[in-house]
Amino acid sequence: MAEVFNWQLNRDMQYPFEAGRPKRQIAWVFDTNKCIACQTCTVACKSTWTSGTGQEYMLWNNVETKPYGFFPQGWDVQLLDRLGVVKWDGNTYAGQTVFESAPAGERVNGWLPAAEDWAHPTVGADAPAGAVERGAYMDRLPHDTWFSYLARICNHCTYPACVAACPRQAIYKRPEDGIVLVDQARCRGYQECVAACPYKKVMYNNETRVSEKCIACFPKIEQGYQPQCVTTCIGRIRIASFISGPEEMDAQRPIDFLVKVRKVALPLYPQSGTEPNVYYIPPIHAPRDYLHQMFGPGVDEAIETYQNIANDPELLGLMMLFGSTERIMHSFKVEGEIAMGFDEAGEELVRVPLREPTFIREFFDDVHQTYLHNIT
Amino acid sequence: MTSSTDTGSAPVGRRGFLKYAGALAASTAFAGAVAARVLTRPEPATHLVAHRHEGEIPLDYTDGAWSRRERWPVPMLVQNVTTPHATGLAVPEVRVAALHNGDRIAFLVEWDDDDADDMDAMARFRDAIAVQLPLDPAALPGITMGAVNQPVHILQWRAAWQRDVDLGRQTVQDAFPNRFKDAAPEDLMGEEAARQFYPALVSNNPMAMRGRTSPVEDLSAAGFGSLTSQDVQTATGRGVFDGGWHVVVSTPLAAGEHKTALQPGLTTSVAFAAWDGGQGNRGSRKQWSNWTELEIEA
Repeated sequence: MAEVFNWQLNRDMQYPFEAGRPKRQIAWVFDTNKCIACQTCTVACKSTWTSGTGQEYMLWNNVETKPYGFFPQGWDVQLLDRLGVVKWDGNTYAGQTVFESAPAGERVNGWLPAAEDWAHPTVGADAPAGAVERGAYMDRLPHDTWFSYLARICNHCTYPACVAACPRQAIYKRPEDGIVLVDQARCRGYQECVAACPYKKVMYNNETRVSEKCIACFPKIEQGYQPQCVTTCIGRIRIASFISGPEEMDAQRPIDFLVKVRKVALPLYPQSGTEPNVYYIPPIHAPRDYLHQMFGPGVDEAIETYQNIANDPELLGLMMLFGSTERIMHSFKVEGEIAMGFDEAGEELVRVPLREPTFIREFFDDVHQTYLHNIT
Repeated sequence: MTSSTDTGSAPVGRRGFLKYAGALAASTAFAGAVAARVLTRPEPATHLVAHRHEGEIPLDYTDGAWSRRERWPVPMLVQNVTTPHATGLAVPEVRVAALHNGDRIAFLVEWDDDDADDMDAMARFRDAIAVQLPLDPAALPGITMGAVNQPVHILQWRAAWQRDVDLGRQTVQDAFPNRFKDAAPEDLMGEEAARQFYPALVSNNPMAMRGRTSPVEDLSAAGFGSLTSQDVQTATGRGVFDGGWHVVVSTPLAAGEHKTALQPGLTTSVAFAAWDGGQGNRGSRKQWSNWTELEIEA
C-alpha cells in the first residue's frame, strides 16, 4: 500500500501498488459539446485494433448517450452505487475512492460485468433524460430535458485500478508516456482488471483467453502522432498531448492550458481515485447536479470559461487547433487572428484562423417564402 | 472460511519429519510392511505414499491401479494471505493417491463439485487443480507459492484445457453459440497471416495455445505473483467429471531445468490448490493446502 497524492482529489490517498508517476503522461481533452456520436472514432478504433475473433464485442473506444447509455450496461451507475453520493469539501474529495472503499480481501471496490452487460453498446442512445412535452422548445441553459454524448477510451490513469488489481503484475504503466498496457505474454485471464477498472475499459478476449485494452495507439504516439480516435474525429472534438505533473504547469502546452490554466476540461468521475487522464469539457446544456457528480467541483467554472470563449483568443485559438493536425502538438501560440501548433522540437505543425469566414443568410427566405433552419 | 477444527484434524499438521526424511521413510515403510503381514487389516496410512507401479501409469482414474489405492485426505483452506481472496471455502478437501513407475510420478486428486465448470469466457471461470513441489526436495519453501531463493515447481490442470484436449480448442462459438460473426481474419487471409490479430497467440501465451495436447501446465514460482510457464513442458494428465472431479497429474521423476528432481526412496513435500470456477475462483481466489509429506516408495 502506497500513500500517493491525487491532484484531482486535492489530497493524499491509499493506492495498493508501489508506483511512481511516469516520466511523461499522455492525456486527452474531449469537448463533449461538439460530439455528435457519429461513432467515427469507434469505427476507427475497431477497424484498427479489434477485428479479430474474440474481440467481436470489444469497443476500446465507444460513444454513449448520457444519462441512459452505458457500455457495459450500468458501468457508472455501479460505480456511483459503490462510492455513494459524491462528497466534496471545496476542491478536496471527502468521500472514499475505489481503493479506500475496497472490502476486506479485495484490492479494489470493483465489480465484474456479466457477458450480457457488454451486449448492448447502443442502449439508451439518443434517449432524453425525461419526456419532451408537445410544443416544447429550448430557450435556456441548462435544458429542461436533455441528453449528451460521452466518448470514452481507457483513461490511462496515473493510479490505474487494473494495474493494482492484477495479482501477477501482468499490467504495467509505461514510464515514457504513461500508457497502460496488458502484457499479452503474461496475462492468465483472471479478469481481475476487468472487475477493478471503474471505467470498465479492460475487456476479456474470449478467443485468446486473456484481457486486452486500449493501447492509446502507442505505435503512433511513439512516432509523434495522435491516436486514431483523435485524428479521425470529424467533429474535431479531441486532442491528445502530454500533461505536466501536478506541481508543474506550462501554459504553452495544450493540455496544461485546458486543464490547469483555463480549467475548462475536467476528469471523468475523479472520485474513483485513479486520476484518469482523459479530460472532458462538460456539456453546457446538462443539469449541473448531474455534471457535478460526473466531473467534480470544477464544473461551474469550466462552463463559464467555455461560454466566454469568444472573448478568449487563446482558448478559442487552441480549440480551433483541435483536429487540425495528425501530429502531437506539444505547444501552441496565438498571434492576432492566427493560432499555431508546434511539435516537440518547436517546429510549426499547423496554423489556423481563430474565426473562419461565415456567411449568414436572412432568417426569412423571400424566394421560397419560408423560414430557414440553418442560416450559417 | 474454515473453522479451527478443520485445521486441527489435519494430518498435514503432524510432521516435523523432513530432517530424518530418508531413514524415517524407510523405517515407516518397513513397519507398514510388517504390520500388513501380521495383522489382517493394514495400518491406516500416516502420510501420502507414491506407490510403485509396474508399467505405464494409467491416466484413467477408474483403472485398478488407482481404485485399489487408499485416498489420502488433504484439508484445504481459503487462501487469505495475498489479496484478492475467495469469498468462501468452495473445496474443503481433496483426496489424493500417488503412483510412480521409476520414470514418472502421478497424483490422482479428487474433490466434490456440483458442476463441471470447464470453459473460459467473460465472467466465467474454470475448475482447476494444482500440485506444488519444492524445487529442492529437501527444502520446505514458503507455502506462498515458494519464496525468493525457495522456488517451487507447480503443475496446474485446468478443466478448460481438458475440454480443449477432449473436444478440440474451444472457441468463442462454443462459449457463445448464438454469436453473430461476419468475417473472421482467418477467413479473409488464412490462418498464418491472421495470427497477427491474436496478440496473446503471437506472444506465445499458453492461455492462447492452439492444438493443446496436455491439460496440465508446468510452471515455476518463487512467491505470489511470480507464476511463470516453463519453456519445456513435460506434464501430462487427465481429468474426468462424474459428480466430482477425478484428475490425474503426471510429471517425470527425473529433474529437468526448473523441475523437481525426485527418485524412489525419497521423501519430500507436496501441496495442493483447488479452484471452483463456478464460485468465481481464479488466480489467488483459491483453496490451498499446507505442505503434506510425500514418500516415494523405494
